[in-house]
Amino acid sequence: MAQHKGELNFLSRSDGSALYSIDDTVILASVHGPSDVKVSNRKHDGLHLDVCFSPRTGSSNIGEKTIEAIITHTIKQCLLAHLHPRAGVTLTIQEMQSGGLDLSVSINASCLALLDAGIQMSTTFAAVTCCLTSDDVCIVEPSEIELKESKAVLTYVFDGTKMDVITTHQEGAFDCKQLLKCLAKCKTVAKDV
Amino acid sequence: MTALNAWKVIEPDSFYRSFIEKQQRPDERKWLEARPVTLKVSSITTADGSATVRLGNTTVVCGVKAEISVPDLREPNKGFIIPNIELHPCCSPTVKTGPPGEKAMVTSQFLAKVIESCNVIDKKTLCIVPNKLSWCLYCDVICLDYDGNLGDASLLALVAALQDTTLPKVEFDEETEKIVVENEKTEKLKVLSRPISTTITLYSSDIHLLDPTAEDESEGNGEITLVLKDSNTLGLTHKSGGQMVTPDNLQKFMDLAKKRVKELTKIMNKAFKT
Repeated sequence: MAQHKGELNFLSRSDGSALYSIDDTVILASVHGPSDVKVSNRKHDGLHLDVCFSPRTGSSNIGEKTIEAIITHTIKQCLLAHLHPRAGVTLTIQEMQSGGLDLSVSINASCLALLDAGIQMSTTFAAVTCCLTSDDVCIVEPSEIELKESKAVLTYVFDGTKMDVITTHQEGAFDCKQLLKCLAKCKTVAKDV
Repeated sequence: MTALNAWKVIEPDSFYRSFIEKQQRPDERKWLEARPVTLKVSSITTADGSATVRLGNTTVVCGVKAEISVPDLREPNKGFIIPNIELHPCCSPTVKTGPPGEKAMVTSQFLAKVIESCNVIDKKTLCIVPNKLSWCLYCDVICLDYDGNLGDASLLALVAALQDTTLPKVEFDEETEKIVVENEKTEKLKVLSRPISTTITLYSSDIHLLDPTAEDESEGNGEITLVLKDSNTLGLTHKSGGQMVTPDNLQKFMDLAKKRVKELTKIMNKAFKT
């Protein structure tokens, strides 16, 4: 397995923060909340979640927006939102170093940051990325070079209690039977994460 | 009748649940029954290729416009395909005027990823003269009526419009750097694969609804989309949060998706024959 490192309470001014890295991909997540939220975003029965992903270079465009959407929906499933009505949580994700595993590192960092902030969650979650090479070999947590040469990249997010799949994200085409094989491999790695 | 409508407005959860418990949905479909699909190609005469898809009430129009541009320095022998989906306020009360919202952006990105992952068109065929000229296909997908399942409808429209696209011949004189575009559109665009997507809403851990309407999507707890390139190759899976699924369910979804591929491929072939 690749080298995982996580550090909590990295920032002094935020309610919760975490710095997570897998090999060369380093991502910082910071959580503020539960706190005030704009009247237009206020929900009477739950928490409003705002996710902002900043890339290392350049400004935020459509690619980043899709990452934000995936992370928002994944976290919404695990947060106990009804405990904080009319409040909001802001999650800011800053990419410090890119090694190709942005999505899964961001999700893992977000989980740790939310835990550090003390926001009630129904379950923790772990993300694992694997890639499928042209010889149908499934490599879990590939390096940047392996990613470039692979024919498909899959990211799965598993929940902490039952190890069911919360989120999947896939790019690249491959045979249907490979899906379950990769899923099973990722599950075993997720247990360690 | 008004009492029923009042129940739907005041307590939408229990109204919807009363149908689900009887293995049905408010539009009289079973859980795993899809809506009828109509596909019409060449609906827009001013575009180089177009298709209109009606998936139940969801109406989506795709138009492909080709423009000549300079290839990217990093890929000098490849052209461009740029899909873009627009959700106009007329399609749903949840869509407002202004910059594209999350749904439009996520779906545009989804279409772009499918084109890339499933190798729908070989970008090298879009190159006219390496390093100098290439075609840039702008695929604009417009949603006129949003009643759920935007992903499936827009992908179907996009692939059909690409298959319908014809491009004119271009002559490039190396010495004078003059570009001559013929008036007649004679070259049919070669589509290498026709991916089909299947969206399933997850209402609860055991109840899965195929081809959701807008009501199904708002009552359900997340969706999963599977894109199959042909009956055995999985092009893309997308599931953003929502109800958790087990690997057995994933297998069930894949079988549903395979069936859907057969049905929609038949409809596509029929639309192109007429």
